[in-house]
Amino acid sequence: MQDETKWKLTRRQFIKQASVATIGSSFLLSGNDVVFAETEMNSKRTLTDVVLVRNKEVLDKRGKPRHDIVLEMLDVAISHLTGKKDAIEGWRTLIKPEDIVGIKTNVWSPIGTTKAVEQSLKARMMSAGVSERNISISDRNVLYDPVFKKATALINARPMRSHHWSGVGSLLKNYIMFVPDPYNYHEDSCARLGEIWTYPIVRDKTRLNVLVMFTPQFHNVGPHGFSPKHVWKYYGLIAGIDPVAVDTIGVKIIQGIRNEYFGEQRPLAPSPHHIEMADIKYRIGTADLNKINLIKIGYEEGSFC
Amino acid sequence: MRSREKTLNLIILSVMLAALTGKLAMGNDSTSRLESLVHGLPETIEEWHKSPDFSVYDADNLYIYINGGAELYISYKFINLISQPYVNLEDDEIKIDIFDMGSPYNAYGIFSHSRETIDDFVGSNIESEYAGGLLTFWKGRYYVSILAYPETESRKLTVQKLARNIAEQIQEESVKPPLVALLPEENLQPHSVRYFRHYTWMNMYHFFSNKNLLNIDHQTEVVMAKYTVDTGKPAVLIVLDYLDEATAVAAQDTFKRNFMAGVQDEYTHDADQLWTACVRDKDLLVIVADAPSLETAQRLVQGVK
Repeated sequence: MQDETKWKLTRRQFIKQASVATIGSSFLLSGNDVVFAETEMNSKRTLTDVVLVRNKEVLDKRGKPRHDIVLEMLDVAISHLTGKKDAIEGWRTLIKPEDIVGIKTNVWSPIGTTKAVEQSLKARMMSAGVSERNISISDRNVLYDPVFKKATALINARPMRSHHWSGVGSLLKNYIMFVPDPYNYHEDSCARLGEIWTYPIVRDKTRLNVLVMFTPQFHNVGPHGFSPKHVWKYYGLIAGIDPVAVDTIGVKIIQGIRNEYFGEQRPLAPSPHHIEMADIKYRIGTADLNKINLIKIGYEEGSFC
Repeated sequence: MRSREKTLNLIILSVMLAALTGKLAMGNDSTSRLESLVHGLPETIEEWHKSPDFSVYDADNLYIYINGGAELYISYKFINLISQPYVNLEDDEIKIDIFDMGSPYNAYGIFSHSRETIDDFVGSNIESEYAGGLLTFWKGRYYVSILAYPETESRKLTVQKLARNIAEQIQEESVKPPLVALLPEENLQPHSVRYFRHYTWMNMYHFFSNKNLLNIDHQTEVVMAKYTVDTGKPAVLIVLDYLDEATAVAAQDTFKRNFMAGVQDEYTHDADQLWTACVRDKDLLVIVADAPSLETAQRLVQGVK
């Protein structure tokens, strides 16, 4: 089991630090004083903060994410999560210079975590003082990667997409590569995924979860699960300390897109109940929307949450 | 309620079981047939060259090729897959995947699993779905996917030629499961028909439960579809064919207890005045959900042939 006390302390620490203030240098934050006030109020109620940042400029003409915008979106998210006006200061509350950092990415083609997100995260690890040789980005090789093998900190980043067997490809699911027998976690639509987060190889190491929502896929067709028709330009990133809370918001958005596209309630099938299980059974975080303080920054139209 | 050719089905099942007893031999036959299909494809087509390296997978290693999606195919009794890429000078790829699903029923099932439209992209007698660079179709025991992404008009034509080549090589008839023919045709949304033998897919159009409350196993055939009604939300009709009457009785009791507040009647409605039905005839169970009136629910049940 996870050391719950330690986890709660970590979360409380972030809540305590969430004395949010505006960051004048970022266009994303202009006019968001209300959100900030709301955040402060909610923090005092000890809700779990999740930040959704959207920016229509994040995709270039070819649909590729722009590195500079991604970096800015991440910085904004971290400022809100940590309560630090200076984003770099915020990153430094997450990561210490002596940390050895594994950035767990997702290489699924054609909608992966993206180089822009990977390199932005790496850049901010280095901004926090981590040596480049102590940073590694990996997906399927995490069990054998020398940096990951001695990692003291993990950053978890992946896109959310509908999934044939687990309902959605989630942040929780992204850690399935930390076990040598992923196939043994497929029963009941991957309901046991939360258990992986209690294993020593990852337990208490995750400092940040980033759900990439630039172009989420909301419906699967074909053997590789990729259906260009069912990809939605959402221009978003969701960040949080609690992976369950971030996944919960991600699912709400995916479900909203499905309902909009199909013109009716169309439940994800199979249901992504591994997220709820991660809360109820494995106590990894909260899947209760009433316990999540969603901070929305930037482009609002069609946010579905 | 219907006149089924149960005996014929049992004969077909027996033949299939007999074939399964010679699994190794059948696997080899399956592989040979798949290899024959890709050998029949042209070496070059337009700007595309057939790669000399094709790959063959079975149920034990499919997860290597379809990261996270193998269980779907295994739930439909998948036997073998052959993957044949075409490449051009820019290193772009057209990916051809041909699945031997063991029977036309399973090929139909996997095709129907997630399609949203039915078109005649491959030919007038072939059910297919093309959108955004992804083509899927089924013929005989084979389910075929061709992905050429990003889509261009030229690639679309190449995909069509390749698909027609494959379809012409497959001589086997495309026989749908007899259960599908039980669905009433009036107001049926043809693209919505789903056929499966795994409980996970029950929640496709209406969420019932994450648990297998209806005891659906590989010996239970299920067909479901949506029906256009006067109100916006379509009604859902589900027909389950159990191995024996006792299992059907148990499933009906469980369904009534969990989803019809334990009422004795075969029809009931919820607070939103949406009607649910659960009617049994021997080993056949018919369920209706989201019907806007009692009459609609009755009409759907009585329409099952």
